[in-house]
Amino acid sequence: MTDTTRHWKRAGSRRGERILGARWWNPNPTPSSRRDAMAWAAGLLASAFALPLLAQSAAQGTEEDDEPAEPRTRASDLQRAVAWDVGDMTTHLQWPPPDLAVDVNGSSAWQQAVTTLASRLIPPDRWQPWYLSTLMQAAAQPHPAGRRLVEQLRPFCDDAAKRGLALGRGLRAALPDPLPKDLLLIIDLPGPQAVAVAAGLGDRAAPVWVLDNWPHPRGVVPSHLTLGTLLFFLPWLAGVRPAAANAAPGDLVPALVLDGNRLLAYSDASDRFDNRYLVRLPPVDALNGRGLARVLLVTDGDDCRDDLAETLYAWHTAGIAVRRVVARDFGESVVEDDAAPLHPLLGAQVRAPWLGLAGQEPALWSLVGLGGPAVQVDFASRRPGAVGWLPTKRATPFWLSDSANRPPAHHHGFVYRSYWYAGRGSVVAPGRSGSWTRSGGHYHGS
Amino acid sequence: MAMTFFWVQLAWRSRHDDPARTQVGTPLTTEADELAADELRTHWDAALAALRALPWTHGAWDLVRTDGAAADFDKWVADLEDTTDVPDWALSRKGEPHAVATVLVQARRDHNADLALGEACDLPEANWFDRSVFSGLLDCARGLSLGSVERLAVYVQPGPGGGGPDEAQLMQGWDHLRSIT
Repeated sequence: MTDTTRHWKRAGSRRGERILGARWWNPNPTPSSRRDAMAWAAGLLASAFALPLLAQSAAQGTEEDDEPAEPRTRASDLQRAVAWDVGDMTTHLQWPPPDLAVDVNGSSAWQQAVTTLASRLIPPDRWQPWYLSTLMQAAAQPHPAGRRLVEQLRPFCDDAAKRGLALGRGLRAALPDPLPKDLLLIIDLPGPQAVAVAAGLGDRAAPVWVLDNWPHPRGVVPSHLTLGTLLFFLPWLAGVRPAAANAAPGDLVPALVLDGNRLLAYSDASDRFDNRYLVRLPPVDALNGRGLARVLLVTDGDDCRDDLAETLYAWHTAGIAVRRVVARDFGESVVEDDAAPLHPLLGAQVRAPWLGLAGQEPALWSLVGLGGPAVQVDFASRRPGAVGWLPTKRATPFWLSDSANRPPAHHHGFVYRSYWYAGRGSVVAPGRSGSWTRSGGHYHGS
Repeated sequence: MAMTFFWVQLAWRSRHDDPARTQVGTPLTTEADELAADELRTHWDAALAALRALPWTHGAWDLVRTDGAAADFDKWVADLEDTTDVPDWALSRKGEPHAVATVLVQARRDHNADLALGEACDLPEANWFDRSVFSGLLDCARGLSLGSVERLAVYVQPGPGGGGPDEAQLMQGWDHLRSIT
């Protein structure tokens, strides 16, 4: 948006041999609110890989902001405008065990990749419009905030992630050959597990990351663990290429990877930074335009998460076949992958077939109702509710299915800016800082 | 309204015909009496980009978040624009001349410009005179959200054609400046 209001006024200028320059004043400075911070974000989102252009992006932002100051600001806007750890720069991220220093290849090369994750994990062209790399941009925040994060990041892979990896391999084994061109996967599991599923899908799927928050030392969503898992599996994720000669990168099965922790329950406690976020899935037209007619949601609950309900239902009513499988149904048994050697960090390489259907994995598609040859399986002896799920109309905090009216504005991912700016008192010390240590005159030598 | 005052001052070797003086000092001296924010942004950016590209030898900076912040801005401007006395360097000089650029910002406390400055200035004392620190401060100033900035200024001493202080005069007249490492 271009500002055409001429309100900056020249307060004085000097043009001579002694001094050249001018001063200007703004008689109507406006309270900076969400939009101010969003100007920073806008440039980044427009060019996900242009972090060095942060200042220029801000320069193109809206200067005129006559909105009243809002009581809450979007958390990621505040973090972009100030620092990822705004309000808690002296508190460190907490990492549960194991304590890892190397990635899945046993290398420390991840250290060089921390600030360039967004470009390393970019999906094939046709899926890029759905790619949200906010999380991967966090460590590329300008000095010194970015460096503080880089120094605290490390690879992460806990037991849940290992289970996710086995799940991903089980799902991979279920994918038909040749790969279907009308299938979309949605992996909606807690961040580290979701990342590991994507790693397990390997060379048969193209992960499209939808990770729209930044970590914070007091964050509701432990997204640094997701980031750490990305770093751990980076050699596999960034190296994904089609194994089959006839499969172009764009032909891989797209897999939207969401952090299922994004809506974690949270009361507005003063010691938590609300870095939650909502996912907006693409509209049905976008699916149709890419020839996608079947969707498999991999989640950990009996129903989809609240922020997906409206869109999945819209897809369903528009004729897209939407089904879901639950992560626990991949946990019945695991099968060792004879072709893969014992991994020094991960142990035995295993896959977790859905419902324990080892050797019959492709039956998944017909069993959940997504096509393929019919297979007889006794579900009574397996998991009740494993199949038969369809998107339904239901009321959520973000969607009133029985009303044309939107529900009241939610507060997911919004924080009280004044509290995190200054109320905690640790953003910056009040008073004077810098190289000037004197008081009074002697500013210059004219 | 509580205010924050930020300033950065940088010196570099500069002969009387050094085009950098004009590149830094001229953009904000536009003939217009009023500017839209976008226009001011363009001039501000041009001045600071030119300054950032120079091989500074000495510098200093400060962020003031006390009640006297606005008064400090006024004091700086008054001193800078006061050309009553003839400086030593205008009369004689032994060494290579220098020019000094001064960038001043007065912003509303706790609004985005102030917070960005606070973040950029939150540095260990050991690094205060690092070249990278000055680069970072200028980058921060260039990217400021001007919506919450009340006053700003850029000056170059001397202007085009002027002589300029040698190093000894610089250290005497601008005794708060330190060598940039």
